[in-house]
Amino acid sequence: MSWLHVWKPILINRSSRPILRDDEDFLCTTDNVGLYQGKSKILGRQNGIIYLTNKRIIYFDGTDNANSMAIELSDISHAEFIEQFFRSSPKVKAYLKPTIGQQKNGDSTSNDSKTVKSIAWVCKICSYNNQIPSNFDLEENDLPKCGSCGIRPNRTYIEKILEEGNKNSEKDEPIPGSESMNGTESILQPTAERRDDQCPKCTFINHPSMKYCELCGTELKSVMPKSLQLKITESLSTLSVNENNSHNPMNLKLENSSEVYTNSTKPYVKLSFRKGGENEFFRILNDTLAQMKWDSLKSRGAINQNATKLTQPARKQPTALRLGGIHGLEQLGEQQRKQNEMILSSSLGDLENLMFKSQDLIKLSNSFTKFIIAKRHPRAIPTGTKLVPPLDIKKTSSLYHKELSRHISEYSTNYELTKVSSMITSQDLFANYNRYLILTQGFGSELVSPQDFNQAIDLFDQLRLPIKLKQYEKSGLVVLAPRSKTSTYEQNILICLKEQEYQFKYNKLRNEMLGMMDEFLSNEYRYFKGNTIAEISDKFGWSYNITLEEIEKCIDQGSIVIDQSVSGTFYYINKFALEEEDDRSEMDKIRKEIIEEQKSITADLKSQYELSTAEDLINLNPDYTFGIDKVGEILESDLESFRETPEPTLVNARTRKLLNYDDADYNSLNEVSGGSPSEPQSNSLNDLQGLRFE
Amino acid sequence: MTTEFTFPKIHSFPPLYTKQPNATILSNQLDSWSQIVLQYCEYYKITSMTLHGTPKVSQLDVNLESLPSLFQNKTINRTVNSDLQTSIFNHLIHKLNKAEYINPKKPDLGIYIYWRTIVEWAQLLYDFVDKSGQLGTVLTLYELTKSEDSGVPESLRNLDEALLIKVLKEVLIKQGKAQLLMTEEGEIGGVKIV
Repeated sequence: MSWLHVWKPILINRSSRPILRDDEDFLCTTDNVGLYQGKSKILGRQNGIIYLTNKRIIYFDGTDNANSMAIELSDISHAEFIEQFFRSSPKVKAYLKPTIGQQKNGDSTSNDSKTVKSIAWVCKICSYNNQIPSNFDLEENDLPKCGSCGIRPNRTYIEKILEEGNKNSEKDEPIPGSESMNGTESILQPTAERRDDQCPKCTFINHPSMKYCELCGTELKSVMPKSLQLKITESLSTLSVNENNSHNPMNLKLENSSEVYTNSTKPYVKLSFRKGGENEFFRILNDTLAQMKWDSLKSRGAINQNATKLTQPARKQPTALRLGGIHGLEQLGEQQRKQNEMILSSSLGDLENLMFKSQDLIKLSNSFTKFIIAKRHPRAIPTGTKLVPPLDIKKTSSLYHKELSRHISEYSTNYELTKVSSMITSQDLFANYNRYLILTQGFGSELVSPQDFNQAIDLFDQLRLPIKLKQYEKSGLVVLAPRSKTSTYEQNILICLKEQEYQFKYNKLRNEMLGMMDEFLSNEYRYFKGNTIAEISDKFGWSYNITLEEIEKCIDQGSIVIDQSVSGTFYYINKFALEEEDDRSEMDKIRKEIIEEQKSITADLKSQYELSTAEDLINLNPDYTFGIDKVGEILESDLESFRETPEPTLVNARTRKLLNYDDADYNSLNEVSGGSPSEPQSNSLNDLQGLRFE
Repeated sequence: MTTEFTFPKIHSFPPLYTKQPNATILSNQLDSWSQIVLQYCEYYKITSMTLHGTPKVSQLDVNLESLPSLFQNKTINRTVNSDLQTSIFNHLIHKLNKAEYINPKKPDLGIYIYWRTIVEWAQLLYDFVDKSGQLGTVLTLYELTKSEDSGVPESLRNLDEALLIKVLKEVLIKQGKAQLLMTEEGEIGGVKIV
């Protein structure tokens, strides 16, 4: 015989929670539960949420809402607990009542509800309409208070009201709604003079769908029009009929295709708790079942007045021991410990849950990595250099700091300390390194703490890594620099400053020679303004602090001098020690360089011009190759003058012709170049002229 | 005197106007400054200055206020602050012995700048008296430096009287080459150089 019909479909609201019946409420909720019918698993019902209500056990499937179903508590006789055993999860075994196979569903609940009805009484003080249940026991309970003014009514008054109310309800026909469900046609029978939707108290005619009077709040008799009621009941009945007619309303399939019970006269279902929560569930289920039994006994009148329920402990609690001596004391201590343990474990439950989810959280955060990588840090990862593979070692490992040290070293040699002169402060490196970790491994990556970082960089020397640690005495600034460079950075700075000054002189002279000195430029180039810390930092890619320290060292050495004025602090190469420097020869050198540069520009322009003109000539006559004699050509005489000749004057003449030089202009140019080639000034003038023919 | 004194190139080196923190460089810097001061004073024949670098007395007949400022460079917009000025003069006075307070008890009066030491001044004076055949003659201070017709050489002309007295007192008298003749009012009436 199959017992699968105990599982019934449930109604689910839009936010995917079961819809409860009237008077039903949740008692306990547990996740990750699988269902068994007898010994076999129910397929497709292995991962869901179990809601225990005071009427049903609802299984809510985690994957497909349509798989959700419920079992009536009234179908369950009692429950058993099965402990966890090796890999088998703890289970709760619920035995089914053997009778329910034949029982018709649905009629047990509807019978009870009709007896209780609320009766209205009007407060004599404030005339507020109060409600009182019809089975209100005046002997047991205090008199009710008025809901509005809080005054208790007269006892006789209430007794009278109750009596009348009960009489009235007996006189009343059954509620039309239940009648129609029973199939009788009593709705047309004249029950009263007034209309159905008229309030019996205040005679207000309500909207047919109202359940309580809009004005006085009195409960209306069912006032739904017949057609509407029929519709509702129809849809309800089709819903239930469709699923009631089979022995297996949910089309459940079992793992072993047949139901097997250890004892076929005692059918049962099992709930397997994969992730805990079984104890609480079992306790509440037992309580609820016991309460239900008690209530049913009470309603059948099988219980004496004033009888109290004997509470049976669900599981045997270790009762306080009344033993003496050391053993007793030990037992007491043991109990105390157990209690503490329980408090601790229950209070830390949330934390455990969080830890349990942590892996998921990290996975989630890693999924965002691609968004971060898309928006790259401007100075991050120059393309072409290989990525430093992530460090894969646990923080607890004894090797951690050494490995971290190596990793930092690898990172810095690849990205930070790429030049011989590079230096970086430990703070900057710390920040950049952690940023790099996030950039390459996402937010889930474990960042390095300052303590670990400091320990790791202290290991550089010990591990013979290509990076060394340097501490400035004055500020205590810790700096990392490539080891290969042993000497100081003074030379580099001096070279840099020299270059700057040379550049300045070069530009100044160049502007002067090209005649481009206007007011702004002459102001700008009046004197060499030296270099600021920021400029030097920029040049070397150092941080400001490093440059400051290095410059101060240089000042101590005496190679750099300082200029403090209103406009700032500037640094120069020390020239005090030098005698009047050989400025003139340097200027001459610069002048020559500029002349060379201008010459090459002129030459380039000239050759370009010639080339383009030569191409034009070839286009005019494709047979002619420029510069090669071709005897017997018709155009030979025309081309005579264009022929390549070693004579420079002829070349000049040709150029002149090609470029349509103004004759006077050309002559003056010729004169200058013919003057004295050794003198730089005139040479440069020549070149300037050359520039202008563009 | 039409052409202005051309300062050496270092005068337009901006760090010259900042007191250098390094001791060695500072001493170099003060040397440079001393050099500039001496050259400047020699060019304009300034024998004494205030402690702020403004000329007090010059042998030349020039408007002292029109001279280019010593401690200020308008091209590069830098000025020597008073601290560094003091250092420069201290350096001149104590290290190089090329300057001296006019009155050590009243330093505010200014200093003599010895681009020519007082011994050299004394030698010049003695040579002049010797060459003009006036040894043993009593001469007034005026005759020694200012007289138009006494053939005073260019180098001694218009020499500051206070400095002249200092030269006479501290060098020539000590050497026993000169005697001062005082007037009744306690002023120097004449000098006899032997």
